[in-house]
Amino acid sequence: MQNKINNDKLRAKTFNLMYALLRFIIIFGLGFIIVKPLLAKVLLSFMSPQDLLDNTVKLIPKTPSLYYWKKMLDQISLPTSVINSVLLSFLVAVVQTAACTVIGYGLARFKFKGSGLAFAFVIIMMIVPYQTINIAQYQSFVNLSVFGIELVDTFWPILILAFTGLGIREGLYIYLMRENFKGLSNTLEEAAYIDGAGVFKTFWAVMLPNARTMMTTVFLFSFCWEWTDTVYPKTYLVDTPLLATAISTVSVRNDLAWDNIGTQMAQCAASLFVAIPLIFLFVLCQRSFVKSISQTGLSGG
Amino acid sequence: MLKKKASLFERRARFGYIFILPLIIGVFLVFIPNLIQTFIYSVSTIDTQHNFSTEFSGFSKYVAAFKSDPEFLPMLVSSIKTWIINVPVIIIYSLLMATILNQDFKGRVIARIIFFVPVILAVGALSSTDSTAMYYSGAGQAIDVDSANAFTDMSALLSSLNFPKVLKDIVTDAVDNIYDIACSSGLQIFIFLAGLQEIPVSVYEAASIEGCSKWELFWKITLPMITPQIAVNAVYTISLVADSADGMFWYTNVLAFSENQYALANAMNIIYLLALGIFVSIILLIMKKISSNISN
Repeated sequence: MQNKINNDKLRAKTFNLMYALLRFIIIFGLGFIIVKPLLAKVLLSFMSPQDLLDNTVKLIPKTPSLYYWKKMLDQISLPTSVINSVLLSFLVAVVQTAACTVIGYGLARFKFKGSGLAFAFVIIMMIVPYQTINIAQYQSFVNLSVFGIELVDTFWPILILAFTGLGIREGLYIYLMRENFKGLSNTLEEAAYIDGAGVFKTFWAVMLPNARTMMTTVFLFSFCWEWTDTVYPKTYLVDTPLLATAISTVSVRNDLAWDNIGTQMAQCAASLFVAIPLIFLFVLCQRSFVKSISQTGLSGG
Repeated sequence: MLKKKASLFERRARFGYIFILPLIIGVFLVFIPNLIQTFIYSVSTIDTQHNFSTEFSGFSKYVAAFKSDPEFLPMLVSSIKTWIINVPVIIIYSLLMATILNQDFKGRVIARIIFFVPVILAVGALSSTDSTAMYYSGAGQAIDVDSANAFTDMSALLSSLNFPKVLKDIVTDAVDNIYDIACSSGLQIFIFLAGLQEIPVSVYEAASIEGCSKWELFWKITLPMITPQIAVNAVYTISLVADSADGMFWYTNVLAFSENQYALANAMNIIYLLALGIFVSIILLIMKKISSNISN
């Protein structure tokens, strides 16, 4: 009897151990696949031209140099592009976070005629790729110039799209905010009403503090996606230097006789340069992001 | 008293319109007009000299997109193939990863961060240099050679097992694109994780005391409880995959802005949208059937 129990225990223990091992292999393997290009980019960007000619160098530079970093930094029109990128991404992120919070609240806590239809439009606007109607959209912004308003080559088109829920993947943010507000209990809101607070005051003073975690997450997404987006800038901001669009313009000529490998190393350096602020921002928002996984009520439906 | 309360809530409901005002503006002043405009452009001859005045000229551009353009049809077919393969694979993959990352183990926080980071670091302008890094890193070259063999081996194995060709393609493509799939699943894992944590532990405990195996727990509890998240992730994944038809959008943009073929470019975009609409409705039908099967 005792023996059998011991056997069972041993079996369970072995099973758990094997399972932990399998889990480790899966997580480590896939994690490695995800991290590898980033690591490779870091290493490649510090190559010197000699390293690229050297057949024995594969991944780790023998004579590390800042050659390609310098070449890249010369070409991305500093500091204008950084200022523009920071300004644009920050403004868009603020506008999108505000708009999505308000829209999400309206969709989650009010039962008015057509609220279902409004949500359906959020889904439709999310699925329709923004590139497909971009030509007509561009033309309608150009047409506004008839009234003396020159919108193209300013931030306005992108900001207007962000405010009206048509920014990049904005449907998703609206959905996340809606779920967040749906998950909150009614009692807080009712108590505020009974105390005589109006709709807007209730929203501002009672509901908004409960959405802070999700707002941080939305801000993070929004900033990062605007920071790296090239489609809207290439349409509406052709003459404005931005970091995201600068990456593909970096090139290194005549330094190696073959291939465009030097250009690609410089572009690796450029994309790292563009990614650095995002990594900082992520580390900054990381805690609230991890919290938003475990705390907010993403109840679905 | 009751009547007064109802009217209060009615009055309150009207404030909803104020909150979703930006959305209303977006839908009626930007989205729908531009969608209609896209369609109008596609069936017109456009005078680019005179403020884009349009004149109806029939559906000839739609025929031209299929018949006389050598690039369009192959690109459309390959896009549709990507939707069919990537959407289910990404959803299943992210559900699997979310289940694993939801378990208790050392380094869980770091693992979660690693799986999430691609959402912000492998997008837009940054993703194009990823492939450079993969290609030039020595390990990448070694993997390329080895894995090329591995894939032919695997597909040979699968065909020798009389695997249906469609399934074989899905499996080999998924393995081939594992980096893309891992990078496009970050947000879905996030949404699934949040959904999994909503399920009370007591439900699992009760079921396992009743003698349910882990497999049954997954099918009978986890899956029905996260159906809403599956729907959201399906929608989001479709939007992600539909957006990423880079070649196609680049092509239509060049047609429109460099070659002044506005009508043809818009016709192609409309065809793409129609195909996407059909795909989405099929997915919705399938999901409806599955969820009614589960609830039975």
